[in-house]
Amino acid sequence: MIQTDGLRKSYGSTLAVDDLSFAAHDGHVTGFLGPNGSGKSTSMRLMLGLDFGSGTTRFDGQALRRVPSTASVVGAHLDAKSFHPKRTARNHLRMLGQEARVPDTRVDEVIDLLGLHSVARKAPGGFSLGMGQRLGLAGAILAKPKNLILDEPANGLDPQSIHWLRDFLRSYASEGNTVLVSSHLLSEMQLMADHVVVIAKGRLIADDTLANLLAGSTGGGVRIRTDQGAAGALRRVLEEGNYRFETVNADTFTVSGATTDALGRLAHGAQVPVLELTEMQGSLESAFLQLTEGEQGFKTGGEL
Amino acid sequence: MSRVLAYERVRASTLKSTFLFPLIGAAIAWAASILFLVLGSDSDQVSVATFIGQAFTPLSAVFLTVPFAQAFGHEYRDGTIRLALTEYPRRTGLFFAKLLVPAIIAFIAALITVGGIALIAVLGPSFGYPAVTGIDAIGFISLREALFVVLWGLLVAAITCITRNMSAGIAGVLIWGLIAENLIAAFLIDRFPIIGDILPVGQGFGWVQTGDVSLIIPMLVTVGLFTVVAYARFVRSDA
Repeated sequence: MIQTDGLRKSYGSTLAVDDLSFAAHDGHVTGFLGPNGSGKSTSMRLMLGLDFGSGTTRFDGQALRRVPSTASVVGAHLDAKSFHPKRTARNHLRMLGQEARVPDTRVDEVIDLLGLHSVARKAPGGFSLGMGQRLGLAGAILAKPKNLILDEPANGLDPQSIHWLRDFLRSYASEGNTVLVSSHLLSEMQLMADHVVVIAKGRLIADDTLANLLAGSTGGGVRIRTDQGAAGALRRVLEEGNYRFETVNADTFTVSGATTDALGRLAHGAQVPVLELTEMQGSLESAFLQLTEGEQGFKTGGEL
Repeated sequence: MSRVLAYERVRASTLKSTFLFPLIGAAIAWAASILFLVLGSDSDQVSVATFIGQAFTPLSAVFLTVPFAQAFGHEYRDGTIRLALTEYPRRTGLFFAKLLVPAIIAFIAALITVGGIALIAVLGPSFGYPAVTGIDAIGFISLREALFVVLWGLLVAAITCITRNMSAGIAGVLIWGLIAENLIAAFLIDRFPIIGDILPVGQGFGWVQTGDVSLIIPMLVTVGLFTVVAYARFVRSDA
């Protein structure tokens, strides 16, 4: 379990992280989300003691500086290009394995697990971003740490690799480990995380289960489509039933606060033909956009 | 401490350049010693101390001490310092391991370099070149030369750590030792003779040649001061 309490960091007059407290629990993948410049990476560096600020972070109840063998407590992957360009991938991992006295057999095991076998004895200077991510992830899991902190690990990965990463992290967490992962790929995070922490401008905006966040977001509702000749009748029925709805196009409406059963019966009772009746899921993206509205660290300009 | 030393050992030993640069430094010194032997005449009877002093130039010291710069410079340049500091969050052990491992490499490399120079001096007469005198003092001279290289390297490491820039560490000591000290000596020593006694690199060369311990004190003080500043920066600054 990773528990942060009152993390704070400023650069001059700019407050990058402001009294940030949250927990990532054992057995869960916790998504760490926020707009660009929201303080995610700074927070992760503070948690690992790489940057100096105020507040505390405990890993399974212990401060990292008091842990006898750090590598078996926390593994971190903060940057896809954190390696010497001329040191082979295998030697890079051997170097990182010294803290936990990781045997070379485990190094080779992780190399195979991450699909790095063909490049293990090559210098990683020419690695693609995706290969760099794999090497970084290999370093993070080398000593089988109880806690993982990963900053944008899916950046640069191809779809197969992202699918593999998702399965791997869920499986890692299911063994009772804690996984804290930041990502901009919200659709991917929706499939990967079961708990979500959202920050903006360094402050905590949301700390909840994914299910609760999705339930609270707009973007849900029921989509109902009829044929064009019956659209007017369907509109009247919805208005008479005091339903809130939006017109999607000439024959389709999105109805809020209704169930598919209720709308199906309503349309049947009014003899309106129904060609589509779909319950729409709220998305993490819509939840994220609602939560962080007006909180972007860097705003875009006008239209092109 | 053994784990962080193992980290540094693997970090240094898994890069060819860790050994390539000291080899270049040794080769330069050996080439210079052959040159001095060939260009010397029968009347130029030189002591082994002078011979080594001529052959073992600061250029060799620069190459022999590159591993010190790499210990800090590579890690900051490549971002691996964050991985290292995550594994060794107390930082102090990592800092001293980054001084100790290159020091061992540079010390051994310097001894091999001086040993090679001595071998060339000993073999010289067999090829008709003048003999070098006082060869029995080679042990102490080699030791002083190797220790001086380590002190030079510690200064390189400290400046690299402070600036987080490998080139600054290597060039900083070289420029100070070969250019700045000579300029200071040329322009100020007449007015302030005491300056001649406190220039660390120049006085250090004197210690290597003569063995007068008082001459190495300015270098020891300089290395100590820079190391304290580097340590403070390493343990107190954001990675």
